[in-house]
Amino acid sequence: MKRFGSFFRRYLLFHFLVLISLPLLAIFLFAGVSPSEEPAGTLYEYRSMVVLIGLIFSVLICISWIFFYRLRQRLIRLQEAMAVPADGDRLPRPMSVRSARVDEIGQLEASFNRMVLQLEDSRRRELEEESLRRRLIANLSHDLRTPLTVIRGHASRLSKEPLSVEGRDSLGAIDHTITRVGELMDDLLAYTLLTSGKYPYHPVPTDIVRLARASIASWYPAFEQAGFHIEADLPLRTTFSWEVDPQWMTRVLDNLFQNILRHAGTGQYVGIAVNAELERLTIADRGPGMDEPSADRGAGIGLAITAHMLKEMKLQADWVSDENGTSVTICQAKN
Amino acid sequence: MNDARWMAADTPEQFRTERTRGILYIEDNREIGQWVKEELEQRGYAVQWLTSGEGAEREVLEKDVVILDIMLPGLDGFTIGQRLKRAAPSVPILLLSARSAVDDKLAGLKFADDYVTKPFHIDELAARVEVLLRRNGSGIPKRLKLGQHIVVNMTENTVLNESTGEEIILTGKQHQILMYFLSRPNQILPKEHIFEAIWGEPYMEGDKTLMVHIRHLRKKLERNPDAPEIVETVRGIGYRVRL
Repeated sequence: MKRFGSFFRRYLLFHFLVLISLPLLAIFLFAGVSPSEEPAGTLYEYRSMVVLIGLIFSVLICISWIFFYRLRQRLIRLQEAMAVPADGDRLPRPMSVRSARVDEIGQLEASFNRMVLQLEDSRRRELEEESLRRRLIANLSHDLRTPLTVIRGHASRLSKEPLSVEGRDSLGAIDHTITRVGELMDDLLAYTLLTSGKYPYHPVPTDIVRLARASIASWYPAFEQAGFHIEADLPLRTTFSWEVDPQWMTRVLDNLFQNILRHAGTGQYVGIAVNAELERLTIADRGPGMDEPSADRGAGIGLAITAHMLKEMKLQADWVSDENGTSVTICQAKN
Repeated sequence: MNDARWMAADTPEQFRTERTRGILYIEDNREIGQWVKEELEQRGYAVQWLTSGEGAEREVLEKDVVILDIMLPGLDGFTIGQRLKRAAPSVPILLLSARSAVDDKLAGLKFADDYVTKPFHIDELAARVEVLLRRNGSGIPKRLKLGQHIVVNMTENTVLNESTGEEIILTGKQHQILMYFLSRPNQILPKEHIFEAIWGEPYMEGDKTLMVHIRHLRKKLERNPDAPEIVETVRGIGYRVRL
């Protein structure tokens, strides 16, 4: 086991030795061992005393300078090692500790190294757990989807058999639930990937009027079949761009339209409007509002995905919802 | 994800062609395989179902479309799909998988033409197969009827007004626009998409070229161009031709 040698104690010892040894040396030289021919109290003695005191001070200053210089050098080294890399992802690297220097700073360096190793270990475990979690959700999603498809297959076969009205209703409910569970698993996987930063994000200047038009065009037949009145107020001659990922933006609009189709069917209305001057996109319905319970309402994971994606794209959604309907306006975040 | 947008997509009766379309279906789960095979056969397709990719490269040469599961014993669907694409580049591949991560979809769509996740709805699957066949040209019938009086002969590239018996002569662009609509029946097509597909250049906001061509097309096809029955305008969004 290494013996602890205090850096400060060594410094004090040097001081003590200088303060004791130099006056002793002076006494030895001037007061007997080397007798001087000059009478006591002469100018020579005073001069010798001044030289001696000067020598003591010089040696002390020299020792202090060396001490503080070495202290500073080691502290700077430690500070450089402790500096967190700018990208924030990497950890500081452990620093080399000389085995001969088991003093206060050496101990600090060793503690720092232990801390870095613990952090590295913790980071490694965190990454392993994250990977395990994602794999688990992906596998769970996969393992549940196959039996769900099998159930849907059997339900589909049953629907071709002669059934009572209740039986048909039950089959409809089974089919609806399978769809819903599939969507929930999709959302759960997407949310896990999003929050762990693994969802591909490629922002490019995106024509928002064009994107909104393509989005409502793809949803139009579904709304039309559900008996919705569809209103699209999209500018014909002007447009604007946002620096967003078109896939993400499409997913956001898909989530919003899906929600209207699922929860706002009673209003029988969907509207999309883009204001190119104010750079705003609004989607509205005349459903019962977001506070009203809906048979399909889940944990709101779809909306959580929407909110997360908008935040990442530096956009904000302003919701207005009451018993007469809900509207959401998307614009660039103010800060 | 089962997309509500696909639930509405019924296959139009007149889109059923005379020739039975062949589907190569590769799925290892017997219950799902049996169900899908039965359903697709009831819809008029000839389905060959394999439980692994063995021998698929030979069979694909005689098929119109491939439906491929990804998680298969032995070689996975990605590898089999790439081999099938090399063997028969013109045959569209639809990936059918329980893997729904974006990465999986992106990897699949590098060689496949469509990607459907389980638990899919059989109507959605059939609709997507139909779209692939149509895109590939093997799903388009020889004769299409538009509205009450227009008949389009797809093999002879002629448009006939049945009520007068006269052939309607379209300009090159008008014909291209009509064919674009017919390859995407019942879909609402944003004007930007139509313009860029026909003219092959980016659409500039406010450009009225497409509008002018549609007006001329309507004059030739519609009984009353002011109240069009064939080329429908969906206000603020685009156009649609229903079949």
